[in-house]
Amino acid sequence: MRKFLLALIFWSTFSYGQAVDLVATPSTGQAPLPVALTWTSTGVDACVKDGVSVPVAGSQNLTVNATTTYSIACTGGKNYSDISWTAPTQNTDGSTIPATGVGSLGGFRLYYSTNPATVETATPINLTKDLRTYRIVGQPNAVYYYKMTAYNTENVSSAFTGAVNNTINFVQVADTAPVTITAAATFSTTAPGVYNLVKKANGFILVYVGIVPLNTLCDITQTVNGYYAVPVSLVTWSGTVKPIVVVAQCSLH
Amino acid sequence: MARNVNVSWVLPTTRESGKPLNPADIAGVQLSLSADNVNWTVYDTFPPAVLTTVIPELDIGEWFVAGVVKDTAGRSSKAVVSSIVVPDETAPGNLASLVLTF
Repeated sequence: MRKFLLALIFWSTFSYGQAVDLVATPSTGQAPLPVALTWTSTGVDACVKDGVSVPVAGSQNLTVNATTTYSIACTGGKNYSDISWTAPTQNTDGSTIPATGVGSLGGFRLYYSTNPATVETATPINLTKDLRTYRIVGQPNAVYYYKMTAYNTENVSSAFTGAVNNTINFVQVADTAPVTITAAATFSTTAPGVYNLVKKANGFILVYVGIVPLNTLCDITQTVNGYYAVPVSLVTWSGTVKPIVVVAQCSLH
Repeated sequence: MARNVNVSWVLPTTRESGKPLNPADIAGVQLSLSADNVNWTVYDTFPPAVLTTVIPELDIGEWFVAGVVKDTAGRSSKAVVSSIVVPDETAPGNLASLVLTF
């Protein structure tokens, strides 16, 4: 029986000291609280912060209005193995393997196991004759041992290659940074006057139209030149002009 | 519905004393705006050559415009105030109720 000569090549050994650190500064205060989130990491390849992919180190400025815990998770290493090999060109008797027809290359079988003693009895992965590389994905962390055989169209198999091994060390690390809002500060009026915005050629002016009670809550999202919208339902009008949007002086207190 | 309001004015030819005012002594006209004829905001100041302007998109209600002439020495005339009502031209509100009977 003529058998193949087969060589098996590949490598991947991963071992890291993975870590990630997420810090919120400050981590407590009154809303709206400006917070700087910064994160650093070592030995990781990718990070996801609050569901969004982010660089392995970075920072972000936020305004926090409610107690929130921010989180980051990073992964390092790989949980797959890339295996490559060279196809045999000769039979064990030194004869050339024909390119086609009877006795030509039929395919390969890849065996692997975490136990070096049982590699040859593991269920093989059947690989077509044209393949020269193969990726095994989703491998749990362990040391793996691999062997291959080649076979011809007559299903005559080569001997097993020598064993090769690699270490899968895929690590996920995570950290959280809680931001605690101790009390919601009131963003409200500091003067009773409310104003209508009147356009002019190069901007606008504020025209007094009435008053609201002091400490009326202001709409922080609608602002112009340091004035903020207040509810028109609370306005005591000074004349007959009653705009649908009025603004007042407001501050956090 | 907001309306644009045209404002025009005529410059004085005399001073308060009744004596002629040299046109070259006029520095400009300052317009102020009020929604209640009590609280005023300076709207703009116009050079002597400008005699009209448009105040855009004034809301519904009565508006007051005051004009003051200033001379090159910094003296100001008394304010002349005019008002205009921006009418409410929106559609009537819905019926308060609609009752059907036999």
